[in-house]
Amino acid sequence: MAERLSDDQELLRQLAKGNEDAFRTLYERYQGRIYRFALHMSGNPATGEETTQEVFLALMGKPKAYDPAKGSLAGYLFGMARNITRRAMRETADDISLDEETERDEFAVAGDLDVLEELTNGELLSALRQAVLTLPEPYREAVVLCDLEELSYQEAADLLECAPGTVASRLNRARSILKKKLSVQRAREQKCAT
Amino acid sequence: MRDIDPIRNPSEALLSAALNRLAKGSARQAPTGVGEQLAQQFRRHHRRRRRTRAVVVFSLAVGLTFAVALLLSLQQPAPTAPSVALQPAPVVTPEQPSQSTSPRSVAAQERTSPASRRNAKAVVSNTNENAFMPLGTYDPAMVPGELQVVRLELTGADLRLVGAPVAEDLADRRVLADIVVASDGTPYAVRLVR
Repeated sequence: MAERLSDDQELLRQLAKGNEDAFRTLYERYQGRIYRFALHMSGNPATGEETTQEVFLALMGKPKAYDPAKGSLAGYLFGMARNITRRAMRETADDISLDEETERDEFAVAGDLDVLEELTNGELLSALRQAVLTLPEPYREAVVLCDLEELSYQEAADLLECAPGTVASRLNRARSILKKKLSVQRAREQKCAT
Repeated sequence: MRDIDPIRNPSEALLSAALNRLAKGSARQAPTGVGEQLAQQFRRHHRRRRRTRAVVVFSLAVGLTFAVALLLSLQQPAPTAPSVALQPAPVVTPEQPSQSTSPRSVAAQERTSPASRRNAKAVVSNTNENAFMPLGTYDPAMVPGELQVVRLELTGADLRLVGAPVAEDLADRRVLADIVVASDGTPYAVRLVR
């Protein structure tokens, strides 16, 4: 980890001097995670591309803005990606507030045990993708980082600048919302079929 | 990632499996075009940066050279007018002895003995014979063409009054001297001849 950090710093120094290879190495190292994070957060490939582009443009424009004393380069890049994605989502107004979400939960069907089993693979993925996108942002971040990016609680907490316990509770809450959402959707589909 | 027991908590296990499939089904990398575009931006950015730096360095070098040249030109001593305006010195032969203390009074007569004259010659020769000594009234801004060299024979006391470096014991002796005078008669420099 420490080796990676010092390697990142060396690459960043080289990048600041105009070394294109250093830039490419850093890009290859982090672009996938940043792109996927923005894609899963927004559900929009264009936002994913835009975020990736903006994060690396900011890095090449001001490489000295990164302070190693404040955390890892990955954390710094994710921080930028979060802000850019948030802004993009605000612009497209595709976010749902926490209050609205809680309100919807009250109408959710409680019995969710067999719902996932009933859904076919394609249906399940599509419904799940939609459900993730409608999660409130803090919950969505937890799901994206821990479930989709497979980061540990500690790694996610570092990126989100909160305690690992907070990540765990957000993830727990997010999963519960997801299950309820899928149940509601299934109930709607069954209602439509009859 | 937390461990999920699929037997005790089947819906959690199903959700985790679904999220896992969702992660695997999403794009892993940003499109190749994004990377290429960023590499081009990187090259352009650093080309522009290098050009800007070169312009700044060049401007600084020019400014510095100009400043040094200006300082040097200000520090160079102005050429002394007499050395430029040296003309053949006409010998003025005074008709009557004069007690005038002004270098403008041309009249002067020899009243010293040959022995004392030899002595005076020796003293004068000890001084710098060929160099004009600027007097207190010397003005470096004086245009050389307006100056004239006049050869006079005056007493040492008279010359001392003008500011010429004549030893005190020669006060009563007559000394032949070239005097640089301006068109208004102001003496600017003196050269002791004999």
